[in-house]
Amino acid sequence: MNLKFMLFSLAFLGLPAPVVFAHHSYSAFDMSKLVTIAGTVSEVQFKNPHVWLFVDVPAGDKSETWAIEAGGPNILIRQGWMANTLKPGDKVDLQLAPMKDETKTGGALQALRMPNGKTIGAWK
Amino acid sequence: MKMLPLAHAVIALLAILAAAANPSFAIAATPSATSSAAQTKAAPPDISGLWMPVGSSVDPLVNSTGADNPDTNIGPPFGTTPELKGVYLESAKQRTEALAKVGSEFKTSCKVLGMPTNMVGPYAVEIMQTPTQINWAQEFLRETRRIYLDGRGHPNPEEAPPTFEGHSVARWEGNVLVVETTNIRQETTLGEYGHADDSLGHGPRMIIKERIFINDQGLLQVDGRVEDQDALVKPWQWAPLTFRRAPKGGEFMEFVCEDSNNESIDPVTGAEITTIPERRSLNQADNNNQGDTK
Repeated sequence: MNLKFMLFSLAFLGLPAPVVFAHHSYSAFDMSKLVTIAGTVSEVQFKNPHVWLFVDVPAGDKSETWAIEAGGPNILIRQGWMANTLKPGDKVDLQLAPMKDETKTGGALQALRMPNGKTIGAWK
Repeated sequence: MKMLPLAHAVIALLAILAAAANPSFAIAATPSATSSAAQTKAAPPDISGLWMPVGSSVDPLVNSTGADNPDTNIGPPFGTTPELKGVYLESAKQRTEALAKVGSEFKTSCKVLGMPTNMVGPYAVEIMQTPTQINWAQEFLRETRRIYLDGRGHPNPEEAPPTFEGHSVARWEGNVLVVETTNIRQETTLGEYGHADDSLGHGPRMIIKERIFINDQGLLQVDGRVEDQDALVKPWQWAPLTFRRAPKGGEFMEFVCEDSNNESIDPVTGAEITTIPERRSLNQADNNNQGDTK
């Protein structure tokens, strides 16, 4: 470790790193909440600017469909989630920040456990 | 000869003291001008290739769904906040207050970010380097900066209208690419993500000075200083931005923000609306209009 790097480290000790962002705010979602669901993939829309995942979740003797917004393909492909990774019928576990509009079963994806055991995002 | 090691030590100590007294050095580990000058004869480093913003969702060391994450979404975009003044400060306050009313961090948009916000774009950066020009392309909103190294000056702002990326000229000082950018449209903002619709995001004479180099950790580092006598109380130095080389074989990807965009702004309230996309195929669940019933 040379002097310059030491000075650099000291100068930024404890300071948050600059953050990066998406093309939109997430104000439609309650980011303080975390909902965990388990269900069956019914559709994957692998598209710009965001990928949407539709998951059927058992609700009593019926089921309800959750619509979940993830990041864009530019992110997910680099995380190992390719266009053909998830298919209808796949069983998945998800954690999401729900929409503030409680009449909608929708959310922003926080973590996803895929059938191959891979987890995208930090599962809590 | 016996004095040489001592002389070297004294020179080294003086250099350390001089460097420590230099505030810009304390802020970032930019290679010093002295070492740069000694290396002017050497070929500049090759910074061509694909680079990922460190800490972003495309950083190979980050595991992310790409959606907003309250655990990591902290701090201002550039790590530091500029001190605005006058009408520019008032303009920024109005934007902040309007966003606070609707609970948004910034106004959703697919419009190009421009300088300097383009430098904190969240996706991959592809650099194409030649001896006379460097192109810096950010995937996110398909923005490309063109940085000229052929000795040309900036255009006359009275002749050439400003642009979002501005006009960048540069030279190599040893291993450091020293870039100066002017002629930037005033819709771009300082330390914010969004635009200034009133074109008071910064002053017309703003100059952005960057020092771009490979740092001791092998990361591409961009130190930036913004000088704007019209809008800033004092020059604004952003916290170093760093980029990690993409895994071998990685390619630049197309991103089309306008394609099937599900985010919009309520024209009345200004609040952001996220619309669940229409299904392409009906599912077997009871609520085929997914998300509309619960």
